[in-house]
Amino acid sequence: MTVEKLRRIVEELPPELYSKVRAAKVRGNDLRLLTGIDDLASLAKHIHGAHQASLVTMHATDDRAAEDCFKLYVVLSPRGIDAYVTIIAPLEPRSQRFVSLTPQINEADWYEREVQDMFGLEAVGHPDPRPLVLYDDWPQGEHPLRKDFPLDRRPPRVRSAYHFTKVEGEGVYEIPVGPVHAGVIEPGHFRFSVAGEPIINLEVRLGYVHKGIEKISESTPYWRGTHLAERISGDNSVAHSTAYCQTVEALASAEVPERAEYIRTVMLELERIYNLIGDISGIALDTAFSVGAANGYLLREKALNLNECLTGSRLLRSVNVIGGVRKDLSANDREKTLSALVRLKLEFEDLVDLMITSTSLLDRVETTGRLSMEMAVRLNVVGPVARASGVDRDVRRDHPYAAYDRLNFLVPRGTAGDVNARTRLKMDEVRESFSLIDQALDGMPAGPIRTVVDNIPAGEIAMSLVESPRGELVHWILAGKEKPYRHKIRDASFCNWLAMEEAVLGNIVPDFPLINKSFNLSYSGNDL
Amino acid sequence: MFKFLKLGVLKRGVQTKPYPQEPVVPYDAFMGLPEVDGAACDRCSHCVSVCPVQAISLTEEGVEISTARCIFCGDCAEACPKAIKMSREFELAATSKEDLRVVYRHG
Repeated sequence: MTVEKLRRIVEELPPELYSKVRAAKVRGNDLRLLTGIDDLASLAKHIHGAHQASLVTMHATDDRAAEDCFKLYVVLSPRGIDAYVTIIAPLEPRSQRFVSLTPQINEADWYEREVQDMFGLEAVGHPDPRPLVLYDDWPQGEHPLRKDFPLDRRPPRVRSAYHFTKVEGEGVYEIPVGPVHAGVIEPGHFRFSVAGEPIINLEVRLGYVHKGIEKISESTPYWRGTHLAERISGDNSVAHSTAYCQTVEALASAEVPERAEYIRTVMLELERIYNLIGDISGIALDTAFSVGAANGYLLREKALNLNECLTGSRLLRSVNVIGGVRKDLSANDREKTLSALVRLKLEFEDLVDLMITSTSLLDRVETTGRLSMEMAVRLNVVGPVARASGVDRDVRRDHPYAAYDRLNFLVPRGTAGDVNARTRLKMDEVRESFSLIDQALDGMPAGPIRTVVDNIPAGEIAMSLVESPRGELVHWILAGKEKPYRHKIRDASFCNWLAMEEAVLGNIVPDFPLINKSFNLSYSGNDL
Repeated sequence: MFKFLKLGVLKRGVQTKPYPQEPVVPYDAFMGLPEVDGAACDRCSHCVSVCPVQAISLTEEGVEISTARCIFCGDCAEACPKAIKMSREFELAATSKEDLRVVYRHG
């Protein structure tokens, strides 16, 4: 069925594009189209438009050793089918330029800037070609993801400056905030331009916690990669490690035991619960509603305690392993989880009641930080932020993995797209997660929890999408010998940061922390 | 006021623990400092090779674990269930890096 639909995508291409496709093949639910670099933009634009596809990831590989060229990969997810279209475009031999997709596909913006930084390939015609990942004191001509850049290389620091967008006019002031913030949070720089109190422009500058994870992964054997994936973004360790393990399992065409899929589902939802309760409590905290915040954080602590009780790790580390999960859930664990959840559910409803009946809180969150649905679609915003603006997309339903296709759940949606809508949406998602855990524990079949995964063929490509508490994240691997040749990671935050620049416009500066909290993006996951 | 009562604030009482005046005992599943049984260890160095962060080394005295490197993943305990287990020990702070070495002697 899926294969049929994918084949139709190729057949329905307009003749002038059809002739540009050099090769097409379907592998699993992935349609791979090979085309020339000059036709990449028009082909991608057609599929993006004609099939209302969203851009899943766009990245490059350095194939100079084998084929004397770089390659670009554009992965699109057409609406309504559980399948992907990957467009592969090799650059001309020794060429380091390609035509930018951004003028046609807006969401390609940061991906192309990342490719420019990490591979030194110029996106010709990109509206904003400033560096994104590489920092100001990084010398020109050093591109970390090229294969001739050794892992231990430390380039000298040079002096240069980054030019922020200037807003000028009478009474317009700039407020630089960060990268060091008051509080134990991650580093990021926010450059506000304000006219009086309202924000008229915000520019986010990130990259301060770039750790070179993709580069490190290229020299990390698969069995150790799970530990690395768990540490990409500390509070999304199950989501990232599940995506990594699923990708490697797909490379080896391995079947994970059903019980392991159910356990992964339980862990993914436990992670969602503690993250989202933390987000909701943060909203209470940032509106100076201390009683709500204290009760919320107490709940979050109980969720973390449950995590520790089940897995030995509050942040659910060491849960996943390639081929399944590490530790089984005993009958005793099941009882403990169910009784803890009964209490959590009751106390969570009390917290919701307390928050949504507090007029001082509602006054701060209603109409604050609006993100329209049009903008959410245009920027390809993902996760709860997108759904609060009315976008109907959830990887768990649209591209089911683990045991999600055997469980019943709703994908809540909001309409207003403000802080209030995002908070309420997260409340609904927590309720769905409670129900998902109950169902998964009930439906969990007996059996093994782990299978042996070996013989990962070099040169294969696989990809996995997982709905993390912040939205969909992607792991994409081109296999090498015993380890990835190229490992592309895209965290949900990478899609959502630009949306925040839009959502704050017209709001007053004191509401920025609140809007920021309602997005709750990861710096580490974005920077990699 | 009604809201506060509804939340059970009065019933809930004190939620914090008097740590460190009284010890906190983690759950059984907790993965703290890896503990090596020196008598059961046959120096096969399997644990050294599975450790993803090179935290374990075999010395003349016995098995040395660096808590500066250890990420408490449990790979060693899984690879060698007869001699290594993840203990519930979590109070591992030290004032010098030298003190972050834990040596389990042989025999």
